[in-house]
Amino acid sequence: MRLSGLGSDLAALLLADVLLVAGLSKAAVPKHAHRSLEEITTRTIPPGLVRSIAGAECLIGIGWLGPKPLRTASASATILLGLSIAVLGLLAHRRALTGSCGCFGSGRGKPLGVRNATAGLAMSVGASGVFIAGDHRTLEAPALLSLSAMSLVAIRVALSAPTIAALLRHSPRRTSVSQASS
Amino acid sequence: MIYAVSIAILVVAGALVVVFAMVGELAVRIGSTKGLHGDPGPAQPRFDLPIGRATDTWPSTLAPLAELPTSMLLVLSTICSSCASVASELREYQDEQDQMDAIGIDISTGDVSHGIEFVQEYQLADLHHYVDQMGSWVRREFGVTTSPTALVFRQGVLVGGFDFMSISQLRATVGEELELKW
Repeated sequence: MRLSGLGSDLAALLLADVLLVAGLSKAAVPKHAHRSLEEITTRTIPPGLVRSIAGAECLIGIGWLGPKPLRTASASATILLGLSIAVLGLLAHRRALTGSCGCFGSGRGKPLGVRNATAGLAMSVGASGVFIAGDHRTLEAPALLSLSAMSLVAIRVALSAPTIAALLRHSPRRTSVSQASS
Repeated sequence: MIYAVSIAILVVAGALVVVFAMVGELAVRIGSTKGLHGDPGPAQPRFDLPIGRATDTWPSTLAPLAELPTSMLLVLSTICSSCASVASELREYQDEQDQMDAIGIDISTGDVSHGIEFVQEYQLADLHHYVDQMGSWVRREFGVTTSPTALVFRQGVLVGGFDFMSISQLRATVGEELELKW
């Protein structure tokens, strides 16, 4: 029982943080996700839609940190969200997009595709697991919130690591054309 | 009290996530994080391209490139902010028409109308250009899946490729060695 409680807490923590980082980052920098959505749908998307989706992601993420009824609602919403991401990823893969997916607000990421579909499915499976196994919470809310805050920053720092590394790096290696042509 | 402190920590963590996302976006807008040090560094050679490949399916607007001793095709996407800054930079060179004859642009886009808007917005109509829906031509013929990418040809044969973030960076890396007239 203790192990399943810990597993339940860890799953909630992971899902909450991924959703919060994705939502907050997209809310701060929505334009890449917006253009990516327009590329997939080949339609004009209202400018506010991405921020609305980002807001929904944040709410679902916060729900995972809340009491049991909220977690249950968040689990259902996460399943739907994960499946939607999977469908978008497969659609994008079929259309072979080349621009950044705009995931986590980044303009430098890889295009939407199979990786996103896999991540969406994993999110749905994880949420389903918590939903089916039942919610056996062991951590008190303050502990869960504090842990979430720390891992939230850790995830964002990990995502920004290439940018931070580039900022700290001095003169990069120079490579000649002959090397590229050989 | 402990609840309030936990929630405050989470809010601060959320704010940090937003700041990190914005720093990442700032780095993209600058064009290259390496540029923050005053030296953009060289364009990075690509080793995953089909060097030695030639094609007889050039779009008519890009076909003149295949006849030249040396030419370069820039692959830009309508959803990539770095591509937008490259396209903007290209305008600076358009007065040197004879020097731009060897340069072509493949504009990858999900919707042809977005590609046409891109050409109009950055005044690229006088350059050899092709609106490549879903980037399918350049992906099929030369395996390019990311942008911005520069492909170098000698009489239509692919001899090299580079990841780059600005025209000045590309010129500094490959201009002289390829005997382009830049």
